[in-house]
Amino acid sequence: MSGAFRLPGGGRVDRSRPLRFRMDGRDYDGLAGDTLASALLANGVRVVGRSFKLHRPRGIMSAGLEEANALVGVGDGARSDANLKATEIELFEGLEAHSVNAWPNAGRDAWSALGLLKPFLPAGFYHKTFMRPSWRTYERAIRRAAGLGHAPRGRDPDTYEKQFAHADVLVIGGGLGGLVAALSASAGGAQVIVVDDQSELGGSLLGHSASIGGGDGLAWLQGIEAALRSRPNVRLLTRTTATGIYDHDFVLACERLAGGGARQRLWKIRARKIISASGAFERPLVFPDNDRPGVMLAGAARTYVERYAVAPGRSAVVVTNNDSAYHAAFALRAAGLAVAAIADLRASPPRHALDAARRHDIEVLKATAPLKVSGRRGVKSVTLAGVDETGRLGATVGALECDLLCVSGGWSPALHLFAHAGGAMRFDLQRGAIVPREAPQPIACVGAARGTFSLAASIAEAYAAGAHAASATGHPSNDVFNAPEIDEWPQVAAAPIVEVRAAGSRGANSWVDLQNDVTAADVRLAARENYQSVEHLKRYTTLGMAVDQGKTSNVNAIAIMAATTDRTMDAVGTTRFRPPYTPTTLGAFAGRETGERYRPLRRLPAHEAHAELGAAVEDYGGWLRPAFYPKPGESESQAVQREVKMTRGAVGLFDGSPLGKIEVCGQDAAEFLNRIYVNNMLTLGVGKARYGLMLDEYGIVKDDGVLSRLGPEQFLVGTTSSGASSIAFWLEEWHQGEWPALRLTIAPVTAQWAVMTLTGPRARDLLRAFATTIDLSAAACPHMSAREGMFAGVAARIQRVSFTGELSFEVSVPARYGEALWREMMRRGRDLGITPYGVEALMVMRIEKGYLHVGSDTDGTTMPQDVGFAEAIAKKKADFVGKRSTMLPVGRDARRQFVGLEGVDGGGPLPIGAHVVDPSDVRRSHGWVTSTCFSPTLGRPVALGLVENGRARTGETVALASMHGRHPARIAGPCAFDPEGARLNV
Amino acid sequence: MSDLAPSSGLSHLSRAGAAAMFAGEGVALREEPGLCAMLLFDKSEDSKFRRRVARTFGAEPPTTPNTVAVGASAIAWIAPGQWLVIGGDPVADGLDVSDAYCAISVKGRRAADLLSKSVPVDLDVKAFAALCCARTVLGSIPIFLMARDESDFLLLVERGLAYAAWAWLVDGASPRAR
Amino acid sequence: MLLIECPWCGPRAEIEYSYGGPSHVTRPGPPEAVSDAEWSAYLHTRRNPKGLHLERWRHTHGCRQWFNVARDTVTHRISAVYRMGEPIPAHVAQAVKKDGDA
Repeated sequence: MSGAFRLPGGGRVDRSRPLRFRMDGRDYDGLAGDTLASALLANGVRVVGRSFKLHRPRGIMSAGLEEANALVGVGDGARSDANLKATEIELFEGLEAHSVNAWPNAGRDAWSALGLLKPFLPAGFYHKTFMRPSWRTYERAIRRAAGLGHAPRGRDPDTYEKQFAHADVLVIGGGLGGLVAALSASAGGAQVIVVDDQSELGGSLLGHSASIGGGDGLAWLQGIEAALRSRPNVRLLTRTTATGIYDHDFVLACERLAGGGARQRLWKIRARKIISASGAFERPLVFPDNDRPGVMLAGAARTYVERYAVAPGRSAVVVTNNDSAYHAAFALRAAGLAVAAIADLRASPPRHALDAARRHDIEVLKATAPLKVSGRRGVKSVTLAGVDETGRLGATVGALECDLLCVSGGWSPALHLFAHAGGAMRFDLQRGAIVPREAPQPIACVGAARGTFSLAASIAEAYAAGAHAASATGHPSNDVFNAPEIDEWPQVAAAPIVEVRAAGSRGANSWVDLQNDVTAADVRLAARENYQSVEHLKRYTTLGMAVDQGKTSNVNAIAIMAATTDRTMDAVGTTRFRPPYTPTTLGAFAGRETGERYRPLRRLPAHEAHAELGAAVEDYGGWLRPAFYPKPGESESQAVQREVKMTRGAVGLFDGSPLGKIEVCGQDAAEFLNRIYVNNMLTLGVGKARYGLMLDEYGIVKDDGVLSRLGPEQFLVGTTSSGASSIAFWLEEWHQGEWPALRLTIAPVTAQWAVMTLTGPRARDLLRAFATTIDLSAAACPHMSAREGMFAGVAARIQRVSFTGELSFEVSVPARYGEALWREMMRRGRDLGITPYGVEALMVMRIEKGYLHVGSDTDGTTMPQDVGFAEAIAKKKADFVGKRSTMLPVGRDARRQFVGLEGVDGGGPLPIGAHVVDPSDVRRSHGWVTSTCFSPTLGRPVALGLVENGRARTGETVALASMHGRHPARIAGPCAFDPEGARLNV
Repeated sequence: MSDLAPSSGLSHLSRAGAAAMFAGEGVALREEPGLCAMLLFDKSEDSKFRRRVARTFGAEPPTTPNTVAVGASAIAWIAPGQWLVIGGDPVADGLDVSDAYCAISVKGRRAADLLSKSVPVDLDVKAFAALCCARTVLGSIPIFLMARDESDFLLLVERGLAYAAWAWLVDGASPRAR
Repeated sequence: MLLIECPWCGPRAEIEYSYGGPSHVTRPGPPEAVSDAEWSAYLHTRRNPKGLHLERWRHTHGCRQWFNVARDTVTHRISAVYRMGEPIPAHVAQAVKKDGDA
């Protein structure tokens, strides 16, 4: 059998499917359809957790995600979840759960002595006490004692899916209001999605039976569910919790899957209209000892009986300030539990309630409330006393034996999602609840979520809201709905009593927030110490924080704060509700976009060929590029030095495909580019290439590269690899936004071309091994030429530009031929001593040559005059992007200029990032080292840097200060190797 | 004739064109290697351009954004004054970008569901019928997407990211992602 | 996540777009005729209103076009979208004027 407290009949559990599970190392039996909470109750487990701060024993207090006490961890190792609510966990075979914040377990907790310290641990205790010498001194020890759960160890082995969905109408909540709203919303063909967090639709009717149309309410609603299932334009999602509403009606909903595939699916739903039928939460009452295991929300007790066929106790006392708990009492009695009495805080409960209680043979004690609850590890008895309309307790009435104390303080609409959407709320005295006021987004609340607790009124309002949403999205219908007859009690407001207490009591034993151990006395203390804003109250006392986010405590706390500070509840207000509505696994947000999939790197056309050569590939500007090609046994630096030597000695082959390529064509292309570059580009001849600099409008160096003129109206803009995408957007921005009248087209074509760069003294010899229509002789194709023609049988572009200081040809072919061309060049270059080189060798060669690398040698303050372009600016008459900024006073001050730096003592490499200082006064930085390497060509370290007034200081001895000490160095020109360019112009 | 053998962004899977079939999931993926893609530009809005395009490709360039006209080739609106021609042979008027992309067809009953795992555009047939197209994203990967019919989509992805897009789709189509 | 209506492509999710600062910022020139103060104001001075804001967005993962959006910075309500070079829609211009007076 599945527990001594399992009822013999009824419920929505499947008695033919028993399930075994473990809690804190003990085996139990449950049934399919149980939650972990209902299964534990069925087995008579009363203490399921320990409170956050004081380690007081706590029991299950609700039947839903508002649960404040029954937090458990499930699983272990990498596959574990902390702080799940036992009330939310669907039982499954082999489930392993353990209580959190208790050691060794919830029943016998070593920290429980902390509870004795309660009088000494008021709100703000930690702030006030652990100040000297500092909080850090104590933090570790305190965190071990307090806190909830543990993060999983290791990488989550599960997968998580995501799905975009689009709907005319999204209905949140699949209970009475939600399904009725979906019925009218979908009648005219609108796309409707219904999400519900439970395993089956039905909402509150699953656990709170009601008569609708003269029959079983749930059966009536299932008729509507069947009608919805037959409509192809309706999607019903169960086990799916709407966790947040974001801007412009974007809703995230997390679906729990159990098919052996992904663990959860995050729905990203864009809806034109949202109907929230998210129901309401029952509020506890605040009274002495109200945290005893066995004190439970009345509606939850009813749910355990009716939905799970579990008796949450044997003998109950019901305490209420409203009518709803009467139905709970009747349900318990009908299931065979003893109900000793209903203690009603109201002096004159309505006639219909009293009559019904009499019929059920349950005694009603009017104007009566709990004064004391006995039973540390489970309720044993409750002492009752008279109470007035302000909640002041009077004379003791007597004590009643019981093991279950059902409480109801009224119902609060679940307005969290409504608030995410920016909805405003107000306190409604009539309904005794905070209710929605207005929303900037097209979201409508219906039923209990709107504070409408009558079933008939809920149905009417839900149907109207659905029909309105259908019409508003262009899908009206003429369907006629026959509202069912419902025999229900008239709506009577709850008595406005939140807390009961004896004269002179501060409420030090009356819990407001069970999860965070905040008492009514703590709220009063906060008020006294002037933490009266509801946001301050939250931070000061921790009320409403953590896993349940105060779903059962917020309204009560606001009421107590309002009474204490003599304000209205509206004046106190609520804290801002933010997504997620309930804790959501981070994995669901990450989805499959983890590891390398988070930001996939681009592969080169010749990727496979590089891999075969054993290339060490790394991320350079979003591309996977060979950093170097190590031979067996070679270190990175050995490989790089070899690649440089071989390239300068014979010929090197470099895959330059990621270099940005943008075609700018049209009548006004030249004029446009002249406005973009610092250089004068109007004078660039056809077939010529020119190195150029681009600035942003602040005059800061943005990118550099080679501009080639392929025809009178056809230009190829070369950018840095990392700038390929952003510079295309940059050009388009200026064209579209500033100079739309210029006639030209901009087409980014980086990926269209594979670029193989041959560089070194034998580069031309190797090119001669290929058939080409292009004359590559020094005379016909000098340095800085751009040619088009056939090469190796395909249409190609060849640019004679160099970033190494050697004779270089950049051969571009359509990307599909890139891999084959690479292999061919390697094959035919073997006799010439061809060496493939990677980005690192290229960097060494360009540092030797003093070629600028934007982003390494420039930063967010570098202007063109700092990198040798002062003359170009002065000579250029026309305006260009950023020109005016270079003329600002800041551009004329003593600026850090691009220079070379050489070590003077023959020591090791100059440290990157080292500050350039005056050896006699090291306190002020004159600049820093921006690029550095050991030059295999020169046999010494070379470096580049930005140094204040650097160019005028050539030859000056400085010191380079870093964490490795101080290095003597000399300021030099940027180019350390072949400054005349003799190797280039051959 | 070229002595260089062509390869694609998915050649690491198959030289003849990659393919993956998920019968149980109602989706099949297939690379369409060598598919021609060309950009056409015209800001003049004059009829000469339209007539010339119609002569060359058998269909006028569509003026409605994100739609495709089909003649000998498919002509897709991708930006004001800009069209992407898919299929056929390169012509002098167009800017050949065939090599910039890898073409993948996503076919089957659940093709739209698979794509909707990571494409934010509404791909329901009511919103994205045959001959609708869009430049958008597949997760973090930019794509061009076109519906050939309600269960047949053509996806163009930048060549260097094709391997990632393919792996992403295969992974999303596999039963363990259900 | 905002839903922004591209003047060409229609409503698309915010992840397809990039934000580009306020609209209708006039670039002063020619450089020699612009004072330092004027240029600095162009570079740095922004209204940053609480409420209606005219701003530029680019449909980055779509048609790559820049356009203007009139958005309320508090509620995110978008009251108009219009293409580069098009005049500010009358109802937006009126609202901007009212904001300016207030």
